[in-house]
Amino acid sequence: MSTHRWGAMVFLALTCTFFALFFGAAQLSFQDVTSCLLSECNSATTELIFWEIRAPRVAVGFLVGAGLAIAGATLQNVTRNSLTDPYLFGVVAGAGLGASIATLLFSDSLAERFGITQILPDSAFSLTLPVAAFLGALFAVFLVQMLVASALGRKTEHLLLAGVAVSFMLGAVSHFLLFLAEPFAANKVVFWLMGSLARVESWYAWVMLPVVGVGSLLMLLFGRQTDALLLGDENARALGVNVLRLRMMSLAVCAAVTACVVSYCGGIGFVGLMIPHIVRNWLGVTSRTLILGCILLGGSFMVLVDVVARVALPGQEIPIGIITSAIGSVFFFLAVRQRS
Amino acid sequence: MSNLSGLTANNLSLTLGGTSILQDVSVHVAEGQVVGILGPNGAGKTSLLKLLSGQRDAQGAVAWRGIPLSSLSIQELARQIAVVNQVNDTVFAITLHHIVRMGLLPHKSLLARQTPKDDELIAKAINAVGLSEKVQQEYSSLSGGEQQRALIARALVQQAPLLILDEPINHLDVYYQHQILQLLHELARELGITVVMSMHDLNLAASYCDQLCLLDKGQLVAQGKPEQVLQAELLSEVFKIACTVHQNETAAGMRVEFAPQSSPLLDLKGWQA
Repeated sequence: MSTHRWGAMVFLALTCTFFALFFGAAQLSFQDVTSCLLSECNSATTELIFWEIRAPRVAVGFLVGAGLAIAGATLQNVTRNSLTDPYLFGVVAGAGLGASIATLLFSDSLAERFGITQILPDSAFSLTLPVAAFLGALFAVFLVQMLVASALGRKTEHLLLAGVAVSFMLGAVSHFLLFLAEPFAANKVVFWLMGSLARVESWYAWVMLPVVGVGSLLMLLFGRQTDALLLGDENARALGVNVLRLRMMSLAVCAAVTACVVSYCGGIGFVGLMIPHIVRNWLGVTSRTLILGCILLGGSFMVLVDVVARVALPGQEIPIGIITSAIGSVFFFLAVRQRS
Repeated sequence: MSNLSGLTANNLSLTLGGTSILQDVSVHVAEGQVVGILGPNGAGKTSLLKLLSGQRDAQGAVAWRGIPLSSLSIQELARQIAVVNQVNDTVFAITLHHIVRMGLLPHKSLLARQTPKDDELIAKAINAVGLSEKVQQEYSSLSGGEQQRALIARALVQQAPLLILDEPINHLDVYYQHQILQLLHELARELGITVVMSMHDLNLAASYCDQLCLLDKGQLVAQGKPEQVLQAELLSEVFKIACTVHQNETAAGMRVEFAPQSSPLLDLKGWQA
C-alpha cells in the first residue's frame, strides 16, 4: 500500500508541475510546452515566455512549497507539536523583519533619514535580502528559545505561545518601519508580505535550490535521530542523540529555508502546517518519510495554488499568501477540532 | 573506591531547587547482577537511576568498568547503557516497530542502512516482550503496560552491557511482571548483562534480584543481598507501616507482608460522598 501511495505522490508532483506550465498571462499551447521541454521552442517569444517566466515560476513555486513544508515538518518534530509552523513560531515574522530592513535600506528617503544612504550597492541586493531574512529568522528562533528558557518552562505549548508572542512583536516592528518608510517602499513591502510568486525571476530557483536541497538532505540524514525526539528529549539522549545540537541544527535549517522562501516570495502561511499533517496521515510519521512526502506534496500544492492565484481573477493575480492562509486557517481549525 | 569492573558510584549528592534529593550515596554493582533499587515514593530512586545512567550530572562520580561516565560521549554512553525511563507518550502516530527500531540508533552511523540482521534482532526483541502481534500498531494506542514492554524491547535492541530501568513492571499485569523479570534475570545469567532497576514490589525484588539497595529520604540505608536488606524492622521504619518478613532458605522464598494501618487515615465525620 505504501508503495502505491508513494507512486501516487510522485505522479501528483509530476502532473501538477506539467499542468502548471500551461497557465499564465500568455497562452501556451500543448505543442508549445512539449516542444520547449523536448527540443527547441517554436519561436523566440515562446522560448522567452517558457524559459524566462513560466518554467522558473513553476520551479520556484515547487521549491517554495517543498521548503515551507519541510520547515514546518522539522519544527513540528523538534517541538513535538503537530500544530506549529514557521508562521506560528515567529520565524516568518523574523524573516519578514530582516527582509523589510534590507528592503528599506535601499529606500533613499529612509536611508537619508538615518544617514545611511546606500550602504549596500544595488548589485548585492539579491543576496542581502535572503541573508537579512535568515538573520531575522534566526533572531526570532533565538528570542523564542530565550523566552521559553527564561520564563515559560519547557512545555511545547509554551514554545508555541512564545512563538505567537514573538511573531506579533516582530510584526509590530516591521509595521513601524513601514510606517516610517516612504509610501512606495512601504507599498512594495506590504505586497511582498502578502506573499506572491508574481515577481519570480529565473535565478531565484538557483538560489533556493541549494538551500532547500541542503536543508532537506540534512533532515533526511538526521531523520533517525529526529525520530528519537518524538518520545521526548530524555529518551533521545538515552539513545545517544545530542539533543541540543540536533535541535539547534533543525531550527537553523528551518530558519534558513523559511528565510530563503520568505525573502524572495514573501509571507506564505500555513503550508508548513497543512502539508506535514497530511503526509503523516497518508504516508507515515517517521522523519525520512515525512521529509520526502513534504517535498512532493508541498511542491505540488504550491504549484497548484499558484495556478489558482494566476487564473482566479481575470487580468490580475491574487497574492498567493492570501489563498494559502484562507485554506490553512480552515485546516488549522479542523486539525485543532480533530485533536481535541 | 575504584573498581575496573561493574558500575561504581561514589558519594553522589543531588540538590534540586534547594531541596536535597540524594545525599552521599555510594553504590557498587558487580557485572552480570540484577540489582533492585527500593524505597518509598520520593526516596530518590528515579534520581539515582538518572545519575547511574549518566542522564544527569551531580556531585560525586559514576564509573562503568572503571571509566567515568562523564568522559564518555553521548553515543558511547548509549552503547554501554540502555535506559528504560517511565512511560512517555507521543502525539505522533509512530508505530511500535519504529519505537523498538530506535534501539539501533547508537550503533548506526548517519548513512548506515538497516540490515536483515537488524530486522531479526528487532523481531526477537518484540517477541521476547510478547508484542509480536502488535508490531504495526500505533505506540500511543498501546496500553501503559504494552508501552512499557515496547521500551524494554527497544533497550534489548540497544544491546548494551548495562541495562537501567525505572520501575519497569509498574504498569504490567502479574503475568508480564514475572515474564519481564524472568527475561531480565536470564539476560544477566546468560549474557552477563548488568541490570539495575527501581521497583516497588519487595517480594518480586526478593525473588529476582541478586542485590538490593534501600533508599530513604535520599540516603542509602541498606545495600546487600535480599535477605540482608529485607529486614522487618528496617522496612517498617522506612515504609512507615508494620511489616513481617517470612524468611526462607532462599531469597526467592522470602515473603514480606505489610499490616494494614490500624488507625483511620481520614476523619470521615461530616464527610460526604
